Order: sequence, then C-alpha cells, then structure tokens
Amino acid sequence: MNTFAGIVEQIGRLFRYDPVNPMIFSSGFFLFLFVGFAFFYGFMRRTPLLRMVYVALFSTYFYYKTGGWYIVLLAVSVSDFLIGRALARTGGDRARKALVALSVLINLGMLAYFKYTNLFIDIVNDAAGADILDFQQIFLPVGISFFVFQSMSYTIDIYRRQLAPLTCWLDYYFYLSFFPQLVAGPIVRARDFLPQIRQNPLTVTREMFGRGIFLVMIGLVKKAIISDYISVNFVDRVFDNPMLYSGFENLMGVYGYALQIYCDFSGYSDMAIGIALLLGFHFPKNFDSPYKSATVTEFWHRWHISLSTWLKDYLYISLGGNRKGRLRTYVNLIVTMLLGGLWHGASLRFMLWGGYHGVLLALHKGAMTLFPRLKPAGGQMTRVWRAAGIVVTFHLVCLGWIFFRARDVETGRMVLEQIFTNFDPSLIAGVAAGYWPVMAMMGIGYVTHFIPQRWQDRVCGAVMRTSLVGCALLLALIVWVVMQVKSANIQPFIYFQF
Amino acid sequence: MQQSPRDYTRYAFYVSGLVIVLLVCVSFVPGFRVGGVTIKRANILSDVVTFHEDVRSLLSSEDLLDTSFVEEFDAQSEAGELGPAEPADENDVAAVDSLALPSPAATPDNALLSVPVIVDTAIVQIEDFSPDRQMLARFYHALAYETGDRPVRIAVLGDSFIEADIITADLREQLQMNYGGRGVGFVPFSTPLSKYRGTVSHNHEGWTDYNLIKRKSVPEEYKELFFVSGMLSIPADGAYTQYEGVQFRKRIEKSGTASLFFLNGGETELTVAVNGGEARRYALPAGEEVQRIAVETSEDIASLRIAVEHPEDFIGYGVVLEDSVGVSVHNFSVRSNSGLALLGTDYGINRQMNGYLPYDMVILQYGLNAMSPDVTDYGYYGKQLVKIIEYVKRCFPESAVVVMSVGDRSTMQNGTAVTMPAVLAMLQTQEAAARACGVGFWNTYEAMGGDRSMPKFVERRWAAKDYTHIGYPGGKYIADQFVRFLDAAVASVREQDAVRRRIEAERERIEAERAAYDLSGATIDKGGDDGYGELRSVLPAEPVDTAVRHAARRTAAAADTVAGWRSVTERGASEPAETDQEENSAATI
Repeated sequence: MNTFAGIVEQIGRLFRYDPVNPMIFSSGFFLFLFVGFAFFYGFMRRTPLLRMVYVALFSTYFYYKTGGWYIVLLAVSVSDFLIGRALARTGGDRARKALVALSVLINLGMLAYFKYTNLFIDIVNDAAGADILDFQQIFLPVGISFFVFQSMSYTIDIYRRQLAPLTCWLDYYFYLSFFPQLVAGPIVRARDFLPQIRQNPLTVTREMFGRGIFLVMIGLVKKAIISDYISVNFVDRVFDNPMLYSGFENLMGVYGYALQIYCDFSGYSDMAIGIALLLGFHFPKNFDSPYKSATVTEFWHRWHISLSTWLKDYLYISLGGNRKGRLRTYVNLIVTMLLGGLWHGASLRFMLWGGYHGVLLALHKGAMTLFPRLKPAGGQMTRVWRAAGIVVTFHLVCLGWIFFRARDVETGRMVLEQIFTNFDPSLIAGVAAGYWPVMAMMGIGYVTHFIPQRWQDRVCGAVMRTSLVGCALLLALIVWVVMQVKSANIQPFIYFQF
Repeated sequence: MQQSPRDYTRYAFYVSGLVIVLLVCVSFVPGFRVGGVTIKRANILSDVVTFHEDVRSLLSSEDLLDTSFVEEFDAQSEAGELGPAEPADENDVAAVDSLALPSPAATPDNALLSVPVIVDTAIVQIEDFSPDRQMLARFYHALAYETGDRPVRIAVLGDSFIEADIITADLREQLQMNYGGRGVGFVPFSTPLSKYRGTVSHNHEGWTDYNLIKRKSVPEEYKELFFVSGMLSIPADGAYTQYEGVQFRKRIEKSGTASLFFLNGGETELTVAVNGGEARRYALPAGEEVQRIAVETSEDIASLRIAVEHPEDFIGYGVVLEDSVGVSVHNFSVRSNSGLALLGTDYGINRQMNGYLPYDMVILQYGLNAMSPDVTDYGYYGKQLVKIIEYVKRCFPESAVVVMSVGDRSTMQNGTAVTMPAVLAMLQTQEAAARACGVGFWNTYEAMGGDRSMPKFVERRWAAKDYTHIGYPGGKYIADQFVRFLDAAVASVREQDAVRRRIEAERERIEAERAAYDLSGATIDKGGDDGYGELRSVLPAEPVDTAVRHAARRTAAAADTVAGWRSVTERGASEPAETDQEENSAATI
C-alpha cells in the first residue's frame, strides 16, 4: 500500500536507471523531470555559462536515465574536441588527413565494437561453418549511432575548413549531449548548432513556443498513440507469423508497418525538435511527409533528412559523389545506401534494405539520364503522373520495409507469398470489423499524412494562437489519451482466415 | 535601448506544470464504462502511488457467450436424448475395453487404488475431487502398469490455446518417451489448419469441412453428427488426404497402427496406401453407426494416403495414428470454443467413438473464450461448465476428466502487462465446477508461474504478443509441468503398490504359517513391552525346533507392521473394523 516510506523508496528508485524501462520523452517520469528542469532553466536566460553547465549536467543525467552508461559519451566528446583543436593547429595536409582519419577511426571503431562485433562474429562463424568465435556480451550505449555521427561531422567540417574549432570543451560537450536530440536524433550538424549555444539573452519567441508545443503534441500522437497501438495490436503479430494471416491481413500489416515506423521515428524527432524549441534551440526538419514522395530520390529528401544529408555530405561525397563518371556515381550511391542500411542495425537484412534503396536510387538516376522528361520529384510532375508516382514509390518503399521488419528473409518471403497467392478479399469486411480500432488508427495516420502542408500549418497556427491554459489542456488531453492507449487491453488475435 | 521581443522561456515550465496539475486531478477519477468502451483510471502518479481498483464486473459473462448450444442442449436434455444422467451402462459401448480398470463400485471392499502422495511443492498437482480420489487413480494405474492391448489414451479438448498441437505436441512426446508408444494420434480428414500443425505433414484436396463452432451454418443433415473433434469432412469424388510422419517431435515419424473413422450411408469406396505402396481398396458397407477401418499392415506406418471414390453419404471424422501400446495423445482443438460447443456434439457419436477409442483421460482446456477484461463474475459460465463436464463424463464414462484451467493472460496497466483480474475469477469458477462435478483440476496459471508470468513468456518469445496465446515453446513449458506431475504420481503409485504387494506377500506367508501351527491352545502373556512378549509365552502344541520359533517372531513383527500401515492408509469406515478384527484375532489366540 501507499506508505510514506514506500513512496520515498519508490521515488528514489525512479531516479535510478532502469534497464527494463529506460526513459523516453513519452515516459510519465520525463514530464516531472522536465518541469523541474524548466523551472530553473527559466532563470538562466542571461547567464550562458551557468546555463551550459546546468544543461550539460541535466543531459548527462538524462543519458544515464535512458542508457545507463555515459562514459562513452564523455570519451567521444574529449577525443574529438582534442582532435578538432589539433586540426586547427596543423598546417600539413598529411598530418591533417592523419588526424581526421584518427577521428573517424575512433568513432567508427567504437561504433563497430559496440554495435557490429556480434554481426562480425556471426558472419565469420557462418563462413567457417563452425562456431569458431563466441558471441560477446556487449552493452550497446543508447544513441551511439547518432552522437558518433554528430561528432564526426564536427571533425570532418574542421578538416574541410568549413568550421572553426571550439576553444571550450564545455561547448562541445553541450553540443554532443544536448538531451532533446541525444538518443534518437535528429543528427544536428555542429555548424548549425554551435552558434546557438551561447545565446545571450536566450530567447523563445511566441512562435517558437507555439510550434514547440504543437510538435510535442503531434509527436506524442504519432509515437505513443498511433505507432505503439498498431504495432502491438496488429503489425507485430502479422510479422511474427505471416502464414497465420491472409494476404489482405499481410498487406495491411505491411501498410501498418510503413505507418508505424514513420510515426515512431518522426514522432520522436518531432518531440525532440519541439522540446528544443521550447528551450530556445532550432533543429533542422527531419521528416517531411515522406510518403508523399513521387520518386525514390524524393523519398530520401523527405525521409530522415538529417541522416540522408549526413550520408550525402560525409560518405557519398567522400567516395567521389558524381564527379567520377556515371558508373562510379551509381556504385557510390549503392555503397552509401548499403552502409546507411547497416547504420540502422547490426544485421545483414538492414544492409540488404539499404542496398535495395541504393539500387532504386541508381535506377532512378539512370532512368532520368536516359529519359530526360522524368523528374526527380513530384513537384515538377503533372497531377496524374505525380499520383501514379506516389503510389508506385510508396509500394516500392513498402517492399523494402517488409525485409527491414521481418526477422529474416524467409519471413519476408512468406509475407509476399501470402499477399500474392492467398489474398482472400472475402475477409476484408471481417478484418475491418474485427480490427476496427487498428484500422481507424491507420486511417487517421495516413489521412493526416497526406493532407496538404498548408492545412497542417493552419492547425499549427491555431495552436500557436491558443492561450497557455488552452495549450496545457490540449496537451493534458493528449497525454491522457496516451495513458489510455498504454492501458488499453491488447486485442487478442483474431483469425479470419478460416 | 531597444525593447527585446517578449520571451517565452518560462512557458515551458508553466505549461508542463499545468499539465501535471491537470493529470494529477484526473488520477483520482476511477475507471468507468461509456458507450461500450472501457475507460481506465489514468494515474500519472502510478510509479509512486497506487489506487485500489474496484474490480466489479462491468458485463455479465452471459453477454460474451454463444448460448445457442446451451438452449438446444437443455431442450434435448429434458427430452432425454442425451443418454442417462448416471454413468452409462458398459454394454452400450461398441467394443469391450481391455484396459479400463474396474470402477470402484464394481470392486470388492478394501480394493481402493492407491492415490499419489507428492510432497514436492514445486509440482503443480492435479486435484482429484472424485470420491476417494479414484477417478485419477485409475488413470495413474493405467499409466503405471502396461495392461491390455491398447495404448493409454488422452484426449485434450480445447480452444485456440492448444491449436496446432501446442502443449499436446510436447505432452505426447514426453509421455511416449517415458511410457512408450508412437504416433501423432487423431488427425481429421481435412482441416483448414493443416499447414499450421507442425506434428504431421497433412495434405488434402476435394473435401468440404464443417466446423462445430459454426454449427448454425452447417447443413441440417450434418448438424447432429459432430464428434468432439469438432470437424466433419465431406469428400467430393476423388478427394484424397495424405499424412506423413515428421521429425518435429520425437516418436511421431512412424506409428504401428492407423485407423480411419467415418460414417457411411452409401456405396463409397476407399483406397488406402501405406508408405507409398500399393493401394488397398475398401468397399464400405452402408450403415448408421460410426465405422472404423484398421489399416492392415505389418510394417510401421510412415505415410498414409487415402482416396475416396464416388462417395455416398460419407462423413469423415479422422484418422488415428498410434501404437497398440504406450501412450496416445489426441488433440481436439476448436478455435473460439468456450467449451459450450461441446454441448453441440452428438452423444451417440461420442459414445461410439469412445467404444473404438476408449479414453483414459479427457482434459478440458477452455475458458479463454468466455473471458473478458470487463467481466469478473463468471457465475453463468460456471453453471454451463458443470453441464459441459457432466456431458463429457456421460460420453466418456471410463475416463478421468480433468479441467485444465486458463493460464495467465495480461492486460496493460500504464504500459506494463499485468495479470487480468478476470483470470483469477475464471480460475475460481473452473475449480468450483471441477469440484462440483467430482473431476480433476489442474491449475495452468500456477504452472506457468502465477502472477505476471505471461509477460515473461512473451519476453522469451514463448507466447504471442497478444499476451493470451502461447507458442510451441510456451506449450512445452506447460507440458513439462504436467508430465512432471504425472511422472511423480506414477512413481508414487508404483512405490505404494510395491510396498502393498510386499506386505500382502508377508501377510500371506503369515497366514500360511499360522495355518501350519495349531495355536488354539496357547495362552498369551501380554506383559511384555518389547513387542514379542505375546509370543514368548506361547507354548506350541507340539515341540518345534528353534528355526521355526524364529520364523514365528518375524511374522509377528510383520503383522504389527501390516496393522500399522493399514491404519495409516485405509481411512473411512473400514478403519475401525480392521482394528477390531486385529484385536479379536489376538484375543482368539
């Protein structure tokens, strides 16, 4: 029961890292943590140094609460800060190259060790046909893929002389650890972010506040309502055992996953961007209604923009980009996307997924060269072509998602087999009735995705004009719905196939 | 000095503070139901403060169930169409069962079978609510001692929880490993689920199948013909079905026998080919009773292909692949069945099938489909469950009936999976029904690990993410627990019987030795306190040598042991009578 000692002990436990329930923005505890943080933050508008120390300490605690292990973060920040300083002092090309190579080596080395050791062991064992290496128990530091890329962008930009190195380590640590983007991006570039750190006075405009609240709301709806609900109640079960479901259900599972991954990822990004705005920081846009893309090239300009531009600037261009002939361009594209795929997770299927997108991008690029009337993006097409392009692109992307989500290639094949050989349209009405909450959620998700941007802007404008109390009421209502979804009974399996 | 624009930095605090205040207020609003939707308490402080939730039933269990089976059953029951209310007469069973042990009523006094005594509290036991706990004792004895010319058969009647041979695949494997026997058991002629059952490779074409659960839409002529398997298969001309043993589990790749079960009202012809060999042709006689073809073959059956030619009123039930010894486990799962659909199976068909395939144990695994998160009162379901159990007892009178309870099932509470309160309510209902009917009860929930065990199953990928259905690994875990108990029960029964036999042998010897001496004239010294006093002063009628005297001492000690043991093991009315008898005989001496 609720004894005083019990409550105190429980509160003490809440502040410690819990590996079973790591904190995310949609955790209830974050709301309480944030209100405490925001209270003191409001008094630090004109004290940049104090503010930096305060935010850095809070971010470190935030990292501890989400991932437990913060030493890695500190190590990355120290090494790249020092390499950045050394780069600025070194004139010789070879020495500079060596330094930047050292930075890349340290960053990628850490990423490889923490994230890919077991994948490597798996490949070696497979190739040898025996278990010659044992799998390692390696703790994957949360967000390492994001902050390692951020850190590399800093040293590479200094190497390219596009950025002056920082003189104070605290600025660098602040940049790397800033909690809104720490664990799941967006990958913020040093040259965009660093100038914002020492604002004096720090200013949050009415527009920033309104947009920030709007993004937090929309992020919560996407991540904690739509994505979480449809994954638990429909998508997961279809992908766990596709053969138990008809082709129609499998197709809905694939459409559901396309929405789920978008809502999950972009919802979290929206919350990060929104929280940063509330604190006076601008992050770049990370998702731009990606399923509105009429070509695969356009898709990658709208999907996880901070990653795709990072890959373009630091990998594709480093490989030679499109400056070394047509064939090499295609190869570069495919290699970039292969590695981009691998970035998403330590499994060959992510690489295959990346490679698949690389091939699609190369094909589109090739087709545009052969047929100059083809356009790179939907905005330049006629309405009919654009609509057709959207449908085709969406399904190509979905095909990729099948193999991204399925636990192995065989499961992905089963999903396709069911869709193409066992569609069973007679079940459509039954499935729609049986899973109506899931279908309604998916409907809302897709409709809001495809409504014109200016409509979304109008809603955002309305939130901006709402009073503080109105904003609080609206946000509380959304959090209440999130809690209802989290407490909703899981819909038991319904088998329609028989 | 230039006026800086208005700053909203502190608004982050204001807005988040206000949200917290609002949500803390909302935390005090308890859950309620509006327009068919359940709204739960949204407690933002749930990590720290918990509220006592009133688990009152928001719905009646009757609202969840398809009661059409009950209405029809009740009408037939009143009309006396469902067999006698008391255990049916042995004579109406088509075949004489060689294995079924005599019922306690038919055996002489003092012939109660020993019941297992298991002290290991980690073992989840089958509680036997039958008189003198003899119903399950008969099963344990059948398992413990190979008798008769048929395997010990277990029928598991259930819902989607055991579909695709989940639980039963491992129950079968383990029992067959421990007690012998091979074969996958019962497989219907055709089923839409054949692809999902890992324990047999089953292909069929040309059949129309009717499912018991959709009995309302089944053509009239078939409605009254359901066996507990829940599936009727009607062949078109040229229909075939083919079974092949697999290595998914041990001992199911081959079987010693194969039997086909069906109704045939015309001149149907079947061809049956074993192991891809030459097909044997069967011209079936027309009849109204269930027919069986026992496939004649001297080799082990690894594959079986059955083809039907010009079928005429042919209604297929299925094929049984088993050995003539050991254990045979039959899975009869009907998806969505709360158990009520069993009332829609035909009494006569069930009896006839039981004649061919006498079952030693019938497990009833139901409940999930009668459960709802919003219902905690299962009174109505409990009453129906009693009807179901009684009906099953009447259909399978020699069988030990065991209610296998619902397992753990979760509901979400603030993002955490917790045990649904309905589970505990259902458990109590099922146990009460088993008690009322005097049958066995096994607590699956406890076997899974009790409170919040389902999330652990899901975490290990033993159960599906609906936190309701288990997969094969989860089924294996449950089967392990069940077999662990059966093994312990069998070991206990064997041990007790061995002691009993030893004592009986001793008793017989004593009787024989007593008969050898005429002790009628002996006087007894009752003063000795070493237990041998009474014999010390016995004067034999005729001189005997020392060896005989020693033997007499030993028998007296043994007699004491017998008396002591019996007074512990035999209870009830017989106990004082036994004691008196001992005293009387001593006095006579």
